[in-house]
Amino acid sequence: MNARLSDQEFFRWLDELSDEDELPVELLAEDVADLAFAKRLLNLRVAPGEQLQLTLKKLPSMARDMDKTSLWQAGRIHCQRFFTRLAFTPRKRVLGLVLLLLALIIFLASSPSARAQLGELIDNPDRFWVLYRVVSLQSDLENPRFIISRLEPVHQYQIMRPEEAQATFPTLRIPQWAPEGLVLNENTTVMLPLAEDDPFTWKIELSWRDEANQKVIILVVEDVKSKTVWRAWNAERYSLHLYFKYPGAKIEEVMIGETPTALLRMPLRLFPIIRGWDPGMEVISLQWMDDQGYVNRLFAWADLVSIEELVHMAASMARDQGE
Amino acid sequence: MELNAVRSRKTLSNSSEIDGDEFARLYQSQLNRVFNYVRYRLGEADAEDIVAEVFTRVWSRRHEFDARRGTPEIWLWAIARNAVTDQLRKQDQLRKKNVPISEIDEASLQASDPLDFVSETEELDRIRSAMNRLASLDREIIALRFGGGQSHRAIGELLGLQEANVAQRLRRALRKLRLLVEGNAL
Repeated sequence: MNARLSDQEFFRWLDELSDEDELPVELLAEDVADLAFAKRLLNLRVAPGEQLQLTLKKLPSMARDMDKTSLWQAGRIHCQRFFTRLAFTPRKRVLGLVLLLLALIIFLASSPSARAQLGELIDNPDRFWVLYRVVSLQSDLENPRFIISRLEPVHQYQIMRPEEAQATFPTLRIPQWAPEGLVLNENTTVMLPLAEDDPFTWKIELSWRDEANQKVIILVVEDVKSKTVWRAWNAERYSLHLYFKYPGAKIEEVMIGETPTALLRMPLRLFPIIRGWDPGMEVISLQWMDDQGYVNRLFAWADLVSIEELVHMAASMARDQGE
Repeated sequence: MELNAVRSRKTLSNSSEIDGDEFARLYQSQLNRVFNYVRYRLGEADAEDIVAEVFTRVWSRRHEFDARRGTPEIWLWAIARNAVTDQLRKQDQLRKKNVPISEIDEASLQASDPLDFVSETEELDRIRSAMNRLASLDREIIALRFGGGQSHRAIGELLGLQEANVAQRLRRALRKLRLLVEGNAL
């Protein structure tokens, strides 16, 4: 009569049996069934998706580039400024802040959803910060929720000098004027599709900053011609689209040359991807679709750059440039 | 590569930080294993997100790695297990609120005709449903062994069990799981 396999023998059989091997008939039926089942379990393993593999492989190089990105730097500077201000704030204001914190604690105590979000943040502090940083690398303001909830960047990234970006994308128009003291940053982020069948074409992020890195203006230019959804939106309807994109923003239309342009004023909290910074801080933005089918988005901090300056800057992207 | 077999340069040297090369090595050797371990524990839907989170945690916390306390692999697996535990806790909270987690339900456990064709994902769902009837430690051992491809010694190291104890529990759990899947559970 066949004896039941010991644990050691059973797992030795399992390790040595290849998929092609016949199951050993000399063993007890129960052991054979267990072996077959264990083999099934092993054969259910699959490889992760290509996009995940690609993303994780690039993680170290992505992280190296993160600190160069303008949004991240801008956020860091504003955080520093906030704490510096706090250190020199009169006692009454500090008391106010303490009361505010108390109010926040009461709010959290009474709101289950806020508590849940805070709990998630406490449970996964690195997730919050890492996502925050990945997002700031991308400076992708179009699908923020998607990026927050998933780590997969939708593009591949290259850091180039502005001249290189201009040479690579001859139709790119770069503003010829910037507010006094602001210099075009030598790191330009170029986002390209990850896969050949990706409908995304390209997106370029340029930034201007002063010596102290406090005044920051960001220009994002994106070729949206290949996006099916965009075919429905012509330049005139662009402002309307923004009402959906940034609900709560103050939007008005201004003409820059002959191009209808949306002027947006909105608190930072309307950008879910940049949470963690002073949420009340106001951002101004000019957004328009140009005659080449590119969407241009200029962003600046409202307390550091005036609307007039931003308009002047947009107007300096001459039509004869980049053609 | 077994966890305990890995005594990398990092373990032998005083340097603890995981650099880009080390990360690439970990990625190469462990990505598939971690991915399948997570699939076995959480199912297909959450697997990629959680694996992304695990490797991102490894990279973002690379300065915290202490070679005196074990290999990078052991550290990575501890992070992976924590991420899975966190996610299971969240799923449990949602379940308590009666929010459907996925399409997996008892019906999938009560398999129809065994000759019916089922995809790998469906089969894994069915097996995972059955695994829910096992003890939590047994579920973890099965996922580490059959999903994560870990040796009994490595599993023991991760769970604080003797190697022989792991083999014994695994064998018992395997049979119970088979019977559950076959619908012959007592």
